[in-house]
Amino acid sequence: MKKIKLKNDIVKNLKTSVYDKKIKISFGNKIGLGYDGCGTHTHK
Amino acid sequence: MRSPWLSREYEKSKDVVVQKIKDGYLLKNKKNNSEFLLDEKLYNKYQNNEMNEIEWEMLFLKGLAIDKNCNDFKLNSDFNINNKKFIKSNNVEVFPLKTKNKNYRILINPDLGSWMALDESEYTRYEQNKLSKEEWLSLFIRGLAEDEKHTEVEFDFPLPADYPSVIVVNITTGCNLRCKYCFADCGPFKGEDMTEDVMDATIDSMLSMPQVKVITFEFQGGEASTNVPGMRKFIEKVEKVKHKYDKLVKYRTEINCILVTEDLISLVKQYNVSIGVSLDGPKMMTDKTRVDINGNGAFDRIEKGIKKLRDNGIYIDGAVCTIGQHNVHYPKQLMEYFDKIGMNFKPRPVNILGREKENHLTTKPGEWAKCFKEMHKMKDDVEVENFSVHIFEENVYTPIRDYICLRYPCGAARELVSVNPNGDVFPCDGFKGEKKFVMGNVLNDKIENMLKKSKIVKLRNRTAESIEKCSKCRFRGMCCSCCYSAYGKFGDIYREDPHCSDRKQIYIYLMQNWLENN
Repeated sequence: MKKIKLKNDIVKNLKTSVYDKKIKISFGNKIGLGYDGCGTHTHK
Repeated sequence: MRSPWLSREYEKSKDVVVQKIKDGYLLKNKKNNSEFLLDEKLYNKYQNNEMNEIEWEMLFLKGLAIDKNCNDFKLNSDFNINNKKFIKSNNVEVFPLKTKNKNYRILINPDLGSWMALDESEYTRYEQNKLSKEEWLSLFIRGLAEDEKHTEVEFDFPLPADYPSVIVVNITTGCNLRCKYCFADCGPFKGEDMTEDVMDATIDSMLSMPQVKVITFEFQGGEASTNVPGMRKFIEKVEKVKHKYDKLVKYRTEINCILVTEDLISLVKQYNVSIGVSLDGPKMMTDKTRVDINGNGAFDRIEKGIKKLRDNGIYIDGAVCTIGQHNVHYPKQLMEYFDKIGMNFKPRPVNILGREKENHLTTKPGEWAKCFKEMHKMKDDVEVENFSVHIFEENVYTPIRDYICLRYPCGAARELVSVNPNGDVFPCDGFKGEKKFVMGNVLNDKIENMLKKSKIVKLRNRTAESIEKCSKCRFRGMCCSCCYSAYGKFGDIYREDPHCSDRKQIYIYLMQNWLENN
């Protein structure tokens, strides 16, 4: 079977910039950018 | 100080040199000249890679450690932590949390859902404004402190969608089962199939949807597998016109697996249709609720259908496992069962609509939380994924809000809409039996236009602030009241989730669990 195991307390691809006036943290991973079904939540 | 929120996997930077000086060990970055003094104890932890995530973060934000998974880090030379003046934030709430070995105070930003655990001595220093600048910075970047000099923190995370990427196509209202908790009140006594004019209008409306690059047509019902010719007709229509639009099209279906015909198998294979099934666990549980018109349990027929799909090489994405009085007291058996049959699953409590209003099968306060905790404890003992564990962990441990039903505003009339066989459109498939929530009809209007109607705009902006109890809840940043479940229970979508108290128990348990095991 297709195994999906995601470690939930580590977010990969956190881009970070630290400037005097602004600290920006952005998320570049595709998870969270799309939604593909309402029944079983498969996190594709 | 401990927190999984914004946690990363860190490692030492090759650009860092260590210098032993009188007061400890000075870490210095050869390239950007940033430096940080570690005392003996912390240096030993650094040497042995035993620092916790917040200790690593202090080094990371000075360019003295790197994120294993992302090298996109920019530290501008104008940033000087010593020039900052951090103060407590009025937005932050504090509550005590006991774990097996330690007492903590949790600082939580209720809007963001971010949190940090402080032990007793750290909390005393926080109260007395005696945290180090680095400790304040860790609070600050999580929205748990403010900077008097107005440094801004920007989180650039995915936002709720403006246009739907998924449409639930209720290809028929007919169903070959009569499940006791069916929220749509479907069964063999209904049987309206989608007409071709509704199919054409739905397809045009979705494929012309602006901004959306990927469209998923998800077939439901009733029971979608009782109208395979309808599904085929719909898909063939999409395939015929999709080249006119710049979209990637996907298909999926949620079925009960009673009627797995050669026709269904061929359709699924031909068009790569993803499949989810509804299954409430082993026979003794499933047979109590998933029954036919004569009250006979459907488990044996479901099992046969699953086998037939698999024998034909068809992968099943997972099962929706509805949790109620028939299975809530058997979390261990549920985990073992789905592991045995090798199927990922999403357990979630019965929603209070349709026939559930008469049958009262949903969980009583505390039962769902207890069931969840037991399943969570077993998560590493099984091969299969319990999607609910994943969803709740994600909301408590990270800033990501990927699950559209556990995020404000929810995905209703945002990521998702639902169309009935007669063309009536609903903001969420949960409403498909409730006439009151019809957004419009595809035969008369485009879905894009329906989204702009004032009552739909209001629903699309249903946030915690619009619900009295949620607006005062410290967990609102990691939660969402299910709109149709709230409607079913209270007759009002602007109410808390019917399983609100269980949710809170789950959030607290997950915080405790993380602190005890990390």
